[in-house]
Amino acid sequence: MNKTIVAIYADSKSWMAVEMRRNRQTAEVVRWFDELLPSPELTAELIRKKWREKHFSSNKAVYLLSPEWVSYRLLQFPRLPPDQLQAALQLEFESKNIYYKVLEVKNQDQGTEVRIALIEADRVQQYMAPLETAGLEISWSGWIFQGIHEFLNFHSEYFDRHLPRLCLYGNDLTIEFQMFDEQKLLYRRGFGFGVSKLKAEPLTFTRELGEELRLSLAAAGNLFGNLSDKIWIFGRWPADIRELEGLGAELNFKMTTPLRTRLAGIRVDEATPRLAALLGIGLDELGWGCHESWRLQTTSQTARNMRRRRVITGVKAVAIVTLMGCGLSLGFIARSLKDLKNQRWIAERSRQLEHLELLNRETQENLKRIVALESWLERRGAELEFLRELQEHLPEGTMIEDLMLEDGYLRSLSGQTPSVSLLLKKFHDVPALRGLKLKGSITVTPTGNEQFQLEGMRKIEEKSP
Amino acid sequence: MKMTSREKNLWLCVLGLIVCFIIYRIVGWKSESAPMSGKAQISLSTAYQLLRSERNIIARHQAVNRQLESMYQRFLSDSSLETSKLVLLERMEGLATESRLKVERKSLIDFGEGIIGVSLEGTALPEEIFGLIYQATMAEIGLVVKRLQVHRNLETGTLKYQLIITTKLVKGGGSA
Repeated sequence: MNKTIVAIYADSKSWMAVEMRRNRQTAEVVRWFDELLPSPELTAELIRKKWREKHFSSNKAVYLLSPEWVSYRLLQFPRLPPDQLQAALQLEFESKNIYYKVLEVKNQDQGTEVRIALIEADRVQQYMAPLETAGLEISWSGWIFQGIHEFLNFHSEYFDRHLPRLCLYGNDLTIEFQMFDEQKLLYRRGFGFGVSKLKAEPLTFTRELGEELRLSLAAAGNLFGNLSDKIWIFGRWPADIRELEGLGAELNFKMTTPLRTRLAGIRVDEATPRLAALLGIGLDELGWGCHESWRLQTTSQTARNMRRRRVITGVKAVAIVTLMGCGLSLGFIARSLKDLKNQRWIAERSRQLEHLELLNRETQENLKRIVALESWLERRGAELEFLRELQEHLPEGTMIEDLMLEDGYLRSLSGQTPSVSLLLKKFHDVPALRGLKLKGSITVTPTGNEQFQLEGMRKIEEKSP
Repeated sequence: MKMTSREKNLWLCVLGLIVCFIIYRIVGWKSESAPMSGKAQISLSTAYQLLRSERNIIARHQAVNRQLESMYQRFLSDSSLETSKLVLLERMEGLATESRLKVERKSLIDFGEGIIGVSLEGTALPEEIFGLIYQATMAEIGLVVKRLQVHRNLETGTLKYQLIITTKLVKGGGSA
């Protein structure tokens, strides 16, 4: 569902509102009105009636502050870190029940210059009361310069891209000169009189307007160098503004009144200059703004927004935890069902499986028996092989008198030989006979042979290393 | 999109839960290979393995049985100890006759643990003794020399010998 917002403006003489909706690519104007106030003050009943009459579908709104209630100040502070500067401003204004917004902080050698916009808290309460009584939920309040800035940014490719942009805003009570780039309000100057002076004193108005405009353009030119040759006209000006066009020609500037927008939906055409600031703060709320810090919120609005954010976060958390819980539960249930299915499947085949396991066990046992029997059979012939080696390597004239082989080991070997050392040397060269040790002493027989007795625990099946 | 610290914490919790879930699934996979509760103590993977290789198991069992049967033919049966001893004695007498070994004394020995033997003693020539050992090695039944002791009589030049030859008794042996 696309986000819908109502931007509303009221001063002592007139009021206007525009309902805007965000669609995929752009914003659209759903409905709007711009009327004179029937009574000096806006009432809840009037608001409800107009809402019903115009079929406004949303009660969520943002409010455009009337410039007649806003004042601007330039304050000087010593060089302070940002948090201390903020604390100093809070101390200065909160005790006086004034809402403020910092527009610019300029650090200079002598100190810090801070430009701020101010409005009395009582005044805010005064315009907020009928709106809230009528059932509207005001999220925040915006400034004229903020609305115009966001409007021009939204239309930067539509009108022209030349920066900085020069604007002249006017209503019955006030006229302001403003200069913007894409990010900031670069320069602002109030003229001290409104458009209503044009009707009362047309000549004086034109002269004073020209002077003020010259001064403003000169100051802006000094601060920022190259200026655009176009001045955008916003606000509630008389239909025929030849005076402005004449002034523009004198000053070599083209006074341009926007008569169309790139917004979809209901066309506003000639009402564009009057509605521009309102459309701007609407666009800000719909997500095209870049100055959330300029939004003014009362304490109750801040608390309400925090509460709403907490509720949304809480709902999201509950939804996520619920989904995760459902997922885990379903996972557990699926796992149990799967286990149950597997158990049944195994139970159906349990006899077959037990039989196969039994066969496996028997096979293993039989293999062990086969290995044992094979190792028994491998012992055959070892004695023969040993005796053959012995016979082959006996030195000439050697006679074996005693021999004992038992359980695969040569226990003793004794006899006579011409030379025991030669015998042992010969045995040493034969792996099967190596390791036989002389037992006792060598005696010489009457025949001249040497009597020997050898012993060895050498297993006759051992292979040579 | 800027997130508040609360939203960041929320996303961390979500990620933590996802990680726990993944770990739970991994543990679940491992436990599938463990034996399941209930009557059957066989795990699912073991059951699949057994059923897949059923033919192989049966064929292997049969082949091993056949091999064991043929091995058993080379040994004496343990069903009747005295009968097997007699058979062994007869075989040894036959071998002694074939190798012309003079036997002055013979006895039957039970070594226990299914091993029986025959002890032959006498006086003979080396080639006769070696001949008997060779015949025993080549015999059908599994005969192993347990002990060979020879002593040469220097005066007469003859060899006195004692030869103990053993065999195993097995269940299902066929050479009785």
